[in-house]
Amino acid sequence: MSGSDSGGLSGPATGGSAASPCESLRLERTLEAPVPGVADLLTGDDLLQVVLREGQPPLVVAVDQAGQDAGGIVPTGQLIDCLRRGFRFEAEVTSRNGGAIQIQVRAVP
Amino acid sequence: MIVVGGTYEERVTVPAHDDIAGSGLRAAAALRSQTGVRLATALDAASAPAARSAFATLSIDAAAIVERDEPVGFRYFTPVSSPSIDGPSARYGSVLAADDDVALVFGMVETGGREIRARRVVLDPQRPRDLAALNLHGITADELTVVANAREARALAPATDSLSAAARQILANSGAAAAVVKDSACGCLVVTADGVTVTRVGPYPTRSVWPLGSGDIFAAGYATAWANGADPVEAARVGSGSAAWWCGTRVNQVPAAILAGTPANEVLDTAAAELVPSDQPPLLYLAAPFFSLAERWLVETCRSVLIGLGARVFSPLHDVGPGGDEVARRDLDGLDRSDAVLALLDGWDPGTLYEAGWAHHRGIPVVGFLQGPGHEGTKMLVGTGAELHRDLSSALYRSVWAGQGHPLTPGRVT
Repeated sequence: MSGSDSGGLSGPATGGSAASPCESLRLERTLEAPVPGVADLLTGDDLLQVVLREGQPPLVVAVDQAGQDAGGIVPTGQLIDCLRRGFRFEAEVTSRNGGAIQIQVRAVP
Repeated sequence: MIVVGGTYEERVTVPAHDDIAGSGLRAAAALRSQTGVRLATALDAASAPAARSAFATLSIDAAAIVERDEPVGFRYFTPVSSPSIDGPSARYGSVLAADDDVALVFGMVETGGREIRARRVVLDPQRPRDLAALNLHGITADELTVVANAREARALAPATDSLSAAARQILANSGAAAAVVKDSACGCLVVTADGVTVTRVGPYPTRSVWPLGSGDIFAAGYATAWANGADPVEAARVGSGSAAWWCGTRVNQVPAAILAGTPANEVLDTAAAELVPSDQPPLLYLAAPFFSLAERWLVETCRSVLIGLGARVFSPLHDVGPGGDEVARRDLDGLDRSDAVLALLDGWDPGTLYEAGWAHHRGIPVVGFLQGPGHEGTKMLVGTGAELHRDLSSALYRSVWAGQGHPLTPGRVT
């Protein structure tokens, strides 16, 4: 493991025993632009799938169990890179704060 | 309004935090409820995809983007630590141009030319070190407000002996209509064009505190209110409420009601009413073990931060020193004079607990910092009115507010 943020990451197909930076990535975020009728139904501990939508610019979106967009996630370059490498991420609803939905983004074990 | 400022990576070690922010992005995101807010910033090739993704996700109109030659980032050990800066020599080649009725201009790490024209400009120098003079180069404004934090104000007016005097000198040197000095946990000072009247606006204490970026949000709130016709003192109150929203929620979009002047405590149930600051800085007693390097480091850090937050500190380590049985009475004499106690509880040092109990007996409020697992000992502390925090920033701010008379909420805050 190189420890570098780019170029030295092992993808999911390569296996390996040590956790890669992608596998240990954790981000605390607010669910941005929450989608009415979807995000309002979220409660604590709900799990959302984290999806990369390629484009100019690329967008990271949280999708509920029914496949509906729940809202956007402000990414880091590393998160975009990890999603492009095929790592799967999920977002757990951790709290509602001031009317906003807080999530924790992490790799799917 | 156009916001001119940086877009930077921000990382914190404890608690873990990794985000794309920077003063410009954060302020533009804060003002999303307002129409016509645009951002002028700089990006490099490596940072651009994630940054542009952030702009799109946050509905930020990035109207002007110049290219810089390397990434820029801020790394903090804790949110109350001074940052180390990645890319301090970054440059951008094109002129950063902005033209609007109102401009909120933050100092940037990157160097390069700028041409900013606006009827009203709010300038926040945003320079953590090496600030010698206000950089007004490339700014054309009919009216100017300078919004600086206390450290920047002292750097801009080194010969002055108070923040009020520093604010007056900044006003005189810049020709601004108003100068605002952000004094963190103690609110802010506002000096207006007569150069004489100094008004202190208090903070809205929140139950937890995420201080990183609070100054950016303050400036965003101030600029919006000032643009909408508020006078500088009213605008500073909106800035203070906006900062409270951010500190208490970490949600970057400030509600329109707060920007319109509704007090933060009427919008956010974990915020209290504006704390009217006293003229005398609170005296904080720092109760803590200092036997190991780690304990000593934490004491030094807390003492330094508390002083930076505007408090005076009685630290047994610094003000009495290590010794034998004879130090106990001198420590307690210092405790008796204090307005509040910050107790560093990890390790459950008997002396620290004794001091916390003594403080309770004397009616002195106790804020505890405890990262370790739950402990039976917290019962006695919480049961006698102490407020315990797992987050260091929150414990530090809450103790300063307690020292200014803000009532604590007994309990364990995670």
